[in-house]
Amino acid sequence: MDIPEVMFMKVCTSIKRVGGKTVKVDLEILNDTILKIVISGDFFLYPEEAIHEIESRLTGRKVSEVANILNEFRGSVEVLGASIDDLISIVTDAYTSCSQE
Amino acid sequence: MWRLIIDEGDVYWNMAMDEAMLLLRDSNVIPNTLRLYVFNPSAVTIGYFQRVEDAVNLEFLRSSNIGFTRRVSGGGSVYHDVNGEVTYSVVASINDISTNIMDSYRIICSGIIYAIKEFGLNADFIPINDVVIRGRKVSGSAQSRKKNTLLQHGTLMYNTDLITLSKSLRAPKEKLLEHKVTSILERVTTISRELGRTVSRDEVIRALIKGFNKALNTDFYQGHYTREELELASKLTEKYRSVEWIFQR
Repeated sequence: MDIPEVMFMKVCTSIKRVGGKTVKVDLEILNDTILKIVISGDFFLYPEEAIHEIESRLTGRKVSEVANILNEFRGSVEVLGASIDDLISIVTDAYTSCSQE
Repeated sequence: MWRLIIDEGDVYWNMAMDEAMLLLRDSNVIPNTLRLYVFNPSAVTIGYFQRVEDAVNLEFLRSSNIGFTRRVSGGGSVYHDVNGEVTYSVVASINDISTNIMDSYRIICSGIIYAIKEFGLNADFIPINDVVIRGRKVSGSAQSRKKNTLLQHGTLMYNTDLITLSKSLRAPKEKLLEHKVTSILERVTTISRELGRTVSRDEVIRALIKGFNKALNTDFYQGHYTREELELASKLTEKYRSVEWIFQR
């Protein structure tokens, strides 16, 4: 008899102060795949609309792919009060601090 | 010579007009403009990337009938006091200020520093976007950019009700600890508080015009909105009122 795979839905949050600004990442994860991600805070990112593309590109991808995906935005977005490296680290922190629902 | 516009409106109109000017300057149909304005009634704006529940005290805003909306620019939440704060917007070709974002913040914020000097007070620019007097924030700014144009808008608190400000806004605990103080109230100030006398809105507007005259190295002529600006701002007002825009994150 096949044993059905157990699906774990996790909700994760990480908040960090970097460069004088606050960056918060809220993640919803199902078996290591990002179902939803919101990157919020009082930082500056140019162009602003790129935040939606970043969140959209990360949605549906494995947490292990986050660094590679965010690295693709180097050069096309400018972040003030945080950096792409900070974003990678905060998403990773959010995942590792996950609570199971 | 730049256009100067002095205005007063509600939070939705004010944010809609700033965005309208940014878009129309980028299409090269309006001139570089300094807009000085007041939020009437008092209101709150939050940064483009902020979550509403993290940025403001919703319960207090609702019970106090204080309106709020999301800005097109990043940065933090701001309380705009009708009787204690003047907001400025600089809408200009990027090439007339600086292509470097940090440099442009510094150049435009120096207008605030010169304005404060008109009152005999010294102020400092704290990157990225703050101006402080004796370590306490008196002005915050935020910048948005299109291809050829920047919009930088920001506050100058001259007599803001700091109790209402502290009840309206949420500051992350870590942010307060970093400033080694315990509340918003202790890390912000006003020109009136620093001078020990009540400063008027008109004095502040005059000081800001002089300050930006020095910082931007330009004279101003007092002008009016164009028909295109009024029409676009009227359309955009609906966006700034909408739940979809305000609660988008």
